[in-house]
Amino acid sequence: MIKFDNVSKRYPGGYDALKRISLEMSGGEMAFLTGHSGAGKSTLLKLIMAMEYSSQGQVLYQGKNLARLGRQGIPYHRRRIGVVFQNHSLLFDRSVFDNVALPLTISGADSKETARRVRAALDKVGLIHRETHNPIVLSGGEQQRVGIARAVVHKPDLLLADEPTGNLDLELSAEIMNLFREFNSVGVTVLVATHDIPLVQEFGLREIVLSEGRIASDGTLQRQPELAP
Amino acid sequence: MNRRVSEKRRFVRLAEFSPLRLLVWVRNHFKVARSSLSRLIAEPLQTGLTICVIAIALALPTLLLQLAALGGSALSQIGDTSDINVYFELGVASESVEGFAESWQSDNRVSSIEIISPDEGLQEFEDFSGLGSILSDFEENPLPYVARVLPASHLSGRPAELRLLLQALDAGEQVETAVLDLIWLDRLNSIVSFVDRLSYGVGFLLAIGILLILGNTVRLTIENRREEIVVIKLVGGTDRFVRRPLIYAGFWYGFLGGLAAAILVALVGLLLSFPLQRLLLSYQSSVAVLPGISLGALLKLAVIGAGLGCAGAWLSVLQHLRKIEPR
Repeated sequence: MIKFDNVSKRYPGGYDALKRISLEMSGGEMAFLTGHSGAGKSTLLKLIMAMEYSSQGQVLYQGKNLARLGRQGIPYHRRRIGVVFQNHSLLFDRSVFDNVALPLTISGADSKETARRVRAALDKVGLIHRETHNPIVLSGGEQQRVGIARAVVHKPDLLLADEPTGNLDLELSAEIMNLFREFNSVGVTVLVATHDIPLVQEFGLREIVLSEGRIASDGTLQRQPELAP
Repeated sequence: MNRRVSEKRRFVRLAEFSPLRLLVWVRNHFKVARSSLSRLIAEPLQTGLTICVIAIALALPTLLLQLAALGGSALSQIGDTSDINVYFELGVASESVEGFAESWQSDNRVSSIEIISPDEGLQEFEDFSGLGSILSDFEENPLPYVARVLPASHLSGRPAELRLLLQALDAGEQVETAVLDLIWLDRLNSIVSFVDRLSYGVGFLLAIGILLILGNTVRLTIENRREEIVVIKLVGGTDRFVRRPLIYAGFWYGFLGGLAAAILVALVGLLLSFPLQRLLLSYQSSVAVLPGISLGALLKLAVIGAGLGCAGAWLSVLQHLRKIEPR
């Protein structure tokens, strides 16, 4: 589904965020992307989102070279992906419902279908009773769950998360990760960038470790899975 | 899993053209138009000020145009009723003046003739000029007999035939001179066409002004919504989707500005109609069309405003929206 072929990313000014990265993720897989801050995790996700372009090498999504999307093609590419951000990126001028509905509104879904899907997504993250509230009154963990509902409401093929548990305590973090695991179990490909390594290792899933823009290790590390679902 | 697949198909179908898609598209436009309007209403002060500026900018050339139109229609009436003054030589007997009048009365080019005796002329002069005391210095009345000839209506708008009549009157016995006062009509005519041109010039400049004002307003809106735009682009919003509410904001500013301009024009018309009517009456002209606003003019203003609003927003969007990308 995703293929990085010898990808390097150099930002203007000469900073190399990624150096000759090659990796592949197949459909339905779930993986963690770890490494210290500045290791290139966010850059890697941005390349998949077509927010940045590789300086060298190719990023392929479902066999298509993202460098050839063109300005017109980018929105349609992003519609097949759900993204969760550390800072939630919610809009505080509208209700929780409208925030979650945004990806559907954008693609022009009719309102009945939208309402059904938004409620299903909110139900999934346990916030159905909050739909009329403004996200500003929600706690950090709840806001993050609204962000997740928004990321999955349009049933994307791929779910990306950039430090989704960055501001949350251990228990909430585990809850969020379990949610991702559940989405993965119904067929969504999930890639989570995080520096919360102990949490990651509890899941016993594929872990791609970045270090200074290179892949330091890529594989499954089996640990004691007592907290895993 | 099966449900997931069928839902996906549904989405794919929506992406192709169909009556359903058209319906959804139209409904989305309505929704965006409505939400743009309610966003404007949510900031009444800022919106009100912008609308006022647009209203003034639209009302000014409209008023000038109306003034020119008014002048034009007044002019045509004055032109219709302009009469020829026939001045007789001094000391002409009243009988021969009356004889002149009788002989011309039967001419089909003449509608009516009014004789003003020197005494009447003196009285009129004193009444209207306020220089009566000067005349009292004269030992005898210096004014001649005057015949005021009103040309027949079929001559109106035919200056050549009017001039022929003038020459014929001028050639009459004991006639000193016959005068058709067209110079001030010519002057008024040039003033009217000047105001007409001026209103288009002013209108053009103010239209550019409106474009700039709205462009700037929309630029500020874009800045205020930067975060929202970034999020929309991240979840796959097209440029068109981001642009739409901004263009609608421009549309509403312009449309409401046009309506407000119509109100302004109507108010000014109301204020001016009485003094204007008096002024025109003094030129023996009563003009039916006084400044004011017709439904057609109101619609025109609203449409022009809305068009300028959309154009201004579009210019601003072209310039500023591309710079906002998720990073």
